[in-house]
Amino acid sequence: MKLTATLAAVSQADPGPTQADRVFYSATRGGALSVSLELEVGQIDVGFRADLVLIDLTDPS
Amino acid sequence: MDTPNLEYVTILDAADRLIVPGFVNAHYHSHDILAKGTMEEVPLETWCMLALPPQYPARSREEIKVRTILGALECLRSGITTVQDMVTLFPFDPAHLDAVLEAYEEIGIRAVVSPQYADISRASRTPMWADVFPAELHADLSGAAEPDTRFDLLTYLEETYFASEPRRRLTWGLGPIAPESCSTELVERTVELSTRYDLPIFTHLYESKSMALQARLDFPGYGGSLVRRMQSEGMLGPKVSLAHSVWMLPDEIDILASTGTNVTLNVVSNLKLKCGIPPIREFQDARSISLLGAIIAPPAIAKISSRL
Repeated sequence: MKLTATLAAVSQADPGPTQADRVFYSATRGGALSVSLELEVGQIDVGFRADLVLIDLTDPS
Repeated sequence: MDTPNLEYVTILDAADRLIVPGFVNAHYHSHDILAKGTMEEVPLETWCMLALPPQYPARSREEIKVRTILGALECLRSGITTVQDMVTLFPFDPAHLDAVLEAYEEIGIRAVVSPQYADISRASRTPMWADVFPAELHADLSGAAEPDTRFDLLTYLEETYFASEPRRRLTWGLGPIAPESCSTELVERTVELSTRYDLPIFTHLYESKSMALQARLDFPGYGGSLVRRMQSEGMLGPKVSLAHSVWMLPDEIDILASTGTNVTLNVVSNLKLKCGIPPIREFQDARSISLLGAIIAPPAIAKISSRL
C-alpha cells in the first residue's frame, strides 16, 4: 500500500491529491469490487461481513 | 434505535486498537509461494522460463495444501482477509484443487479461487521466442497456463463447482490467464460462463513491455490493442479485473473507464520483475476504475501493509 501511494509520484510527477485515502480505498472497497464481493466485504457497515483487522495503536513500530 | 440482541454476539476487546475492514488481495498466485526468495532480480520473461508450474514435476497433494496455507497465513498476518487466487495446478489433478479449497477453509481466510487456463502456448505468444529458440525447445517454453488437450478444466469446474451449492467463505472466479493466450472461442466461453454463473473474470494485461509489444505485432486489426480486442469480444466491464496493466495507453484507460472495468495494480511485483511502473494517477483519475492496492509479487509476497 505504501509503495503504491509513493510510486504515484513517479508515474506522474506533478503533485496530486493525497494518496493515503485513495490507496486505502483500493485495498478495501476497490478490492471488494474487483472480486465481486462489494456487498459483503471492504466496509464496516450494517449488512457486511465482520472481516475486521485490529491494529494495535500502542505499538510504536 | 433497537437494542441489539447480544445473545449470539461475540464481544471483542478493541481498546487501543484501530479497527479497519480486512484488506482484499485482489491478485495472487498460491503456486508461487514456495518459490519465495529464489530468482531475485530477473526480468519477467526469464522468470517465466524457469519458475512456472508446468516446468516442474507434479507436486504432491500435501505440498499443495501446505503452500496454500503458508500463503494464506502471510496474507492474514498482513491484514488481508480476502484473497483472490489465480492458481495453476499442472498437470491438473482434482485432488490438488481439493487441497487448495481445504486449505482455505481450514485457515479461515475468505478466498476467490480462479484456476488459470489458456489454449495458446507461451512459446508462440512471447515476441521473438519462436525465432530465437530452436524448435525442439519450444515445448519447454511454457507459461503459467498451457493448452491442455487431455482435460477440459472449464467443464470440470462448471460441473463440479460452479453449478453446486455455494461454500462458506469460498467463491469462484474465471482465470483466462491473458487475452493473448486465449482464442476468441475461449474468451467467448469465459464470458458465457461469467454471465451464467455471475462469476468475476481475472486476467493479466500488459505486465511487461514485451507483452505490449506483442499486442502491437499480433493484433494490428485492433490497432495493436488487447483492450480493443477484449472490448470487441465482450470481455470488459464491472465483472472483469485486469492485473498489472503497467503498459496501458491513455486511450485504453478511457475504454476501461467507460466500461467500468477494474484494474489491479501489483507494484512490488512489477519492480521485482523489472516490468516498470504503472500509470497509477491516470487510473485513479479515470474514476470509474477501482484501483486496487498491493498484491502478491511472484515469488515473494508483497505485504499489503507494512504495518500500514
